[in-house]
Amino acid sequence: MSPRLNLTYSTALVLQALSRGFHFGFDIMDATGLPSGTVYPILRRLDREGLLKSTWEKQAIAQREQRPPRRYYEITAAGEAMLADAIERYRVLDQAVARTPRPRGLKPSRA
Amino acid sequence: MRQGSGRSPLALTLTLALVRLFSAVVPRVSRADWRAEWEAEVRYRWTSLNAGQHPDWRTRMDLVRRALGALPDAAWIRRQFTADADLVHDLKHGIRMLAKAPSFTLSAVFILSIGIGGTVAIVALLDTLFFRPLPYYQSDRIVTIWQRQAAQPTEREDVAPADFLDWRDRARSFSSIAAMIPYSRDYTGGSEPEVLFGAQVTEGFFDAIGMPPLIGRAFLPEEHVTGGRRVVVISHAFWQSRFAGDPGAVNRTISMDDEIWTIVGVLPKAFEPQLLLRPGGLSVWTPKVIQDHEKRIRASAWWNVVARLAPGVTMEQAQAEMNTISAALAREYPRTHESRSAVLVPMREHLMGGVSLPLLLMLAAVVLILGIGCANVASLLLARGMERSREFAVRAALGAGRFRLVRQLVAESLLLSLIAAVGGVGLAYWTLGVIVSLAPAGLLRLQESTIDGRIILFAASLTAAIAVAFGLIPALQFSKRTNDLLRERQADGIGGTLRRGLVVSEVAIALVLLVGAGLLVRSFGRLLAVDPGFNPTNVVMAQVFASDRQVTPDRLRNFFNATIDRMRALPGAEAAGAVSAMPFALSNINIRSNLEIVGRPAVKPGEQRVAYVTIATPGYFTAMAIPLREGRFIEGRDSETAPRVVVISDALRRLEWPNETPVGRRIRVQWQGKPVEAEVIGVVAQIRHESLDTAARAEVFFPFAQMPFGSMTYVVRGSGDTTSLIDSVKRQVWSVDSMQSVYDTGSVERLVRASLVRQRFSMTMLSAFALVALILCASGIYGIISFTTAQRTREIGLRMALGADGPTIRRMVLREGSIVIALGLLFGLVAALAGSRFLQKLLFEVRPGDPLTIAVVCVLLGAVGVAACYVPARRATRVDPLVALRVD
Repeated sequence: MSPRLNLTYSTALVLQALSRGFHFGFDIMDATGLPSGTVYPILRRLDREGLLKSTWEKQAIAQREQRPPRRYYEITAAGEAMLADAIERYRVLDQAVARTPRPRGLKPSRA
Repeated sequence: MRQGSGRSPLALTLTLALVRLFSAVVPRVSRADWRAEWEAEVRYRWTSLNAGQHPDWRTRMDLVRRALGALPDAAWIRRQFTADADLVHDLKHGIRMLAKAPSFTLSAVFILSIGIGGTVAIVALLDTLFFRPLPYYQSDRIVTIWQRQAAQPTEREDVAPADFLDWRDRARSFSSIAAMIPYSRDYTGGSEPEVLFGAQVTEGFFDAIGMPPLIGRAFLPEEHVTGGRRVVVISHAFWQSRFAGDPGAVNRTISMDDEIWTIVGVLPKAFEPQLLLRPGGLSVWTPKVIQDHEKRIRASAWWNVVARLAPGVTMEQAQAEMNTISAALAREYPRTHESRSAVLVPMREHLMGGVSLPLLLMLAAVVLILGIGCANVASLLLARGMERSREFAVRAALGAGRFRLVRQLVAESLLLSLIAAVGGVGLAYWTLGVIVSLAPAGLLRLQESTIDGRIILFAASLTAAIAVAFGLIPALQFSKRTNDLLRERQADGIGGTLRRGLVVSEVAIALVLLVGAGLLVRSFGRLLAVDPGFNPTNVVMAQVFASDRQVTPDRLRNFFNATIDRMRALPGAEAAGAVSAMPFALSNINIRSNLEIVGRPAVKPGEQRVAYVTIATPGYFTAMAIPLREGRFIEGRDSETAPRVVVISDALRRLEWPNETPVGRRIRVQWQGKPVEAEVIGVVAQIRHESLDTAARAEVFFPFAQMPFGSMTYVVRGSGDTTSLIDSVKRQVWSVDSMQSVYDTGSVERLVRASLVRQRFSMTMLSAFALVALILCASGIYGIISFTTAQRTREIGLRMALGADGPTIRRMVLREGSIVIALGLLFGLVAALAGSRFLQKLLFEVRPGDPLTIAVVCVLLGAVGVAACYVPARRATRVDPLVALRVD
């Protein structure tokens, strides 16, 4: 394993969620079942280390739905590589994260 | 924007309030973004909840709970921000690293302390001289004015009375211009008759200086005229010693020169050490009454002139006006003023005297030492960095950016420098004390040097600059090559060039300092070898000013004959005499006159020979052991009634009679306004007057009996202990006249030694600095070669395994060290040759590029350098090939 990051299980979960198309903070929480106080610092750290990149949701979409634009997270190639490592290590990862983003309005997971 | 469902706004409001509250934790730069992100998520969730129907209370509580998670998020961002923005983390890490290597830390701190301490001390001295305001009102408007002869454009001379009066009448550039005339008075109010040194000042003197008396008043115009009241302004020190600082001293009277004087003012303390560089300062200031005959004195010059520039007038304008006035005077008085001009010198420059050059030299020296120290510490850091290369490589691999690593190194060097700065400022206090105590007494303002806030600020900036420079050099070196470091594991090559460069620069800098010190030492040696023209050993002197009490020529003759006879009869006295211009004495009567040689065609005005006219008694030459070159000394037979005779100095003979004997020729000089003609009877050796490095002067000695004079210096040669002789000499004066004051008594030998104080000071200081530089340089070479050799353990082991023996290895290490040292010597030589010409002014009979000095210094430094390489070279031969090859 490359010594690049202290890759915890939670971090791996977040990466997995990002990789599967969950792009927003609350959605990632839903997908992983992790609390916000865990998910957000992980997102910040992944951002800092270049494993993901963040932008803002398109203004048009937000406007259509009458709410402010959300922050949009996207996994990078480095992040995918790291995730591949992590999958080696945490075999259960595959089952732990939802496969596709749920349609909006579904019942949230336990926070 | 929709505010969400009206059914349950409480949960939304609460959630948003929490987000807003927690946003305070987030650093300002990212706060707006952070809030936008959280609010967007909350509103999005709220909208979704309301789209699906009936969000139950658990769902709403879930939203609030998620908002609570914003706090750890905000805190995490804040922590990261703090770690990024502050050096706190780096400093903590730095402290741990420094504590782990105490010997490294101690040596680095020690070396830097020396550099910082020295620099700060010298800067404190320079600050006092150049930047600290003088205690006078608008002191940058005060100028001193001097006479200058075209033949000696670098010399400043005192001013002739008539010239001062003309300047005062004609110049418009000054709001006030005044003269100060050194004047001592006999004070008979104490236990022994003593002399109070003081000055007579013309009207407006205290205005020109810009410092009124502390109590009382300055002089009134009517006190500057004949018949005015006898008033005196006393110095602070005199006030303290005689009146115990009693404010009632004003209006009290003191007896001076058998007259009663009323004290009208007391000067502030700050007034004292600033004017007239006489140890002990001046005690009494009296108003000058200009005498009629003084309005005609143009040849003799002994007045000091000070002026205050009028508002709006610049220094250049004032100088230009003085040039015009000088030109006019030259037309009016071609005989005396043909080549005379007036030169303005700002007060500050005047007070600095000749000290700025030695001090600037010392500044250069300490900066160079600081340079060597920096090179040493940089090499220490390099070596340590090498040991820590794995640490850096791992940190880089873990994602620490280059900037991050550089910052860490800078933080460590900042720590080092900070500790060193504390030590350095302490050292600076000490150094300052030592320098001030070594400094010549004339450098009065130096005593006021202190390390104040501004100096501390300077020390801090210096430290910061050093820290950044240090951290950066090795840091850039490493961070650039972290990948290589990681791969190679042992980084042999890295920093090799840099290390060699450091040795080269250390050697070069040390050479510059050593050459400077060597030149000064040699120059001092030459100075000590100068023959002053007399033998000062076992000679004592005592000065008297007898004219006030012995008012006729006959009484003067009787007084001096009687006192000298008694002195000669003293037990232990071998010879006694008196002279009007005593070599090396602090106060002296130097009278100059045009000199004509009878029988030679008249010379054009301005080209006449000028000679010093000195009066001597017969015993003077034997008491001083002045060698006779030709003819005879003044003798007892050269009495008042005998034909007028004169003895001339060898310097004058060389100028006027280079190839013939002057004995029997006749010369003519001006004496007290009248021409005096005399026959040359002898030639005496060249006598140095002010100092050993000023040329012997053209001088003529007339017999005291034929030209009696009131201001004389007794010289008595003793056979043994001279301390008791001084007291006996004074007693002989008082046995003839109990009221005659005696001043400036002491050993002539000490006087001559004291004249070398400036040279001794420069030499001592620069030698001390050069020694420090040599030690630092040697330890630097030792450290770097040791480290380099240690780095090459494996290579050396391999060589030994392949058959190289100890001496071969030793030669290899020594050869490589020597090459670097030789390179340093070469660069240093170039720099020393270029730099040593700044020493020119301080050197006596030694050229700046003196080959002998440079050769000796090169050999010394080279030897020390090679010796410093020798220990690591020996150690290298002890490498066990097996162990070495197993390394890593």
